[in-house]
Amino acid sequence: MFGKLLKHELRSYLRVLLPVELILIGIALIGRLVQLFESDSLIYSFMLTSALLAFFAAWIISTILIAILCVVRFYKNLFTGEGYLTFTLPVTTGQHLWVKIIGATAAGVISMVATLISLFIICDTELLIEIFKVVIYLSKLAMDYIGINYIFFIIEIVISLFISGISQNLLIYACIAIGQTARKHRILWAIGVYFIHYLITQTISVAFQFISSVLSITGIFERFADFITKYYMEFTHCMLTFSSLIQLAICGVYFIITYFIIHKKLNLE
Amino acid sequence: MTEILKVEGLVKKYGRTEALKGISLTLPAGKIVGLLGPNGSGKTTLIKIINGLLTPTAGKIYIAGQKPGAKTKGMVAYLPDAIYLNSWMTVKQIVNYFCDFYEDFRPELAYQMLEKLNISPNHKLKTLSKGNKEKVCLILTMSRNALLYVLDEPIAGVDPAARDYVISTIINNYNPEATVLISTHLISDIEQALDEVVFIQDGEITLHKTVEEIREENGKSVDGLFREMFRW
Repeated sequence: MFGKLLKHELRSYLRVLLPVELILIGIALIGRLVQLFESDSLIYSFMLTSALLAFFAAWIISTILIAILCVVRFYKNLFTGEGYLTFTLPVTTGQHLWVKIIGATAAGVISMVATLISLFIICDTELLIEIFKVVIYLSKLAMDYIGINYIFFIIEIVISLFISGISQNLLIYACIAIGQTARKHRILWAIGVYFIHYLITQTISVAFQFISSVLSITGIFERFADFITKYYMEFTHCMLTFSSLIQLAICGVYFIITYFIIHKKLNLE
Repeated sequence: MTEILKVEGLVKKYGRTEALKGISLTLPAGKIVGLLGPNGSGKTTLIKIINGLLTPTAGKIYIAGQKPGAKTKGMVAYLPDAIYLNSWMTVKQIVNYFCDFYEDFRPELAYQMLEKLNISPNHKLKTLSKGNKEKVCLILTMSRNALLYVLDEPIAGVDPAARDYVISTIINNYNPEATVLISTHLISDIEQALDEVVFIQDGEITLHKTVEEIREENGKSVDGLFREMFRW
């Protein structure tokens, strides 16, 4: 049943994703075609600038659209009229939630791949590869200098970004779910919960910065300076892994909140 | 007699408003039961709880002896009082969707009924009239070989000429070992099909009898008794 649910979820995403990403790639192709008529004329400059601007605008719009799509899909499929069908399917709450997470993540990955493809189309491929090589070379040099394994570092950064993306989706799902516990104005409540969450996290962040500033005045961090310099590689890897684990734990909390509300407090209007 | 649906002390509160006030109800297998009551009496609330769309404040509910969950959802065929299908899908895609999820779905029966009503499977739902959309919803529900059919206002949106077809669709296509629970205002149209009736008022069950008992004891039709009991 999980596979079938996922199939329909992906199909629903692709219905919007495919045309959006094809338009982006199409605009990139037009931009590339314009470059074939390279000349010093004013018309060429105008055409090239317009094509590049159009591509940039299309990329921004498609990215925003995909983000909105992930939120709307979750809300509409579960908490509007569609929910009457969704919640009467012989599927568990956990399966519904996992499918939503995988669907949104897949949409994000597809969007990223399409962006990369369109970049390779619109840019001079050889130049892009050269830039990529230089970036890798410089990163390697910097990592070697600091003493960090750059392959591990890249893997850790990718994993961290991946978890962070899922965490953002789950946060919005949790806010929508909490909003559904209200009797009226449920979307407004969801937006309110999101802003309260934002306010709390920002307050905690500022509080941490303040505490660390106060502690740094006392010179407490200097005691660890030698240790951090000596074990910089291990320290950086530990910090990245720790941050990913924290993100994962936060994902778990958002998941549990959403699961609990859907499983125990569902009240479709 | 096998119990298909058992409800014990069901309470549903919306803030201070009590929509259901400790309802207890048992429905046996093989019956068509009318859930009748005026607007705001708690019919749709009860139906939504049976289908797991609302969480009860208190009380217990069992479907074929089991607590509601993924398994029981596979046993219940539900027709809501609103269009709940994706409007961008074609009728054929919706039929395939039902085939994918419900093991008891009979696609050949669905196509047969669609053909009879001249509804093309290739049409998108959004291109159909409101009445035809409701017919598609009913066809999908009745094409299942479910244990419990829960129909919320199945004839409210269709024209009087089509009502007979809808009622015959319900009578002819439900599994005889199953129970059909129909909520409606249009009692006279559906009365001929009912075996039992449940009257609900202000969140309480005021009457649960067979149609035969009502006719014998009260000397009235169900519609007549309803009008008498719920007269303003």
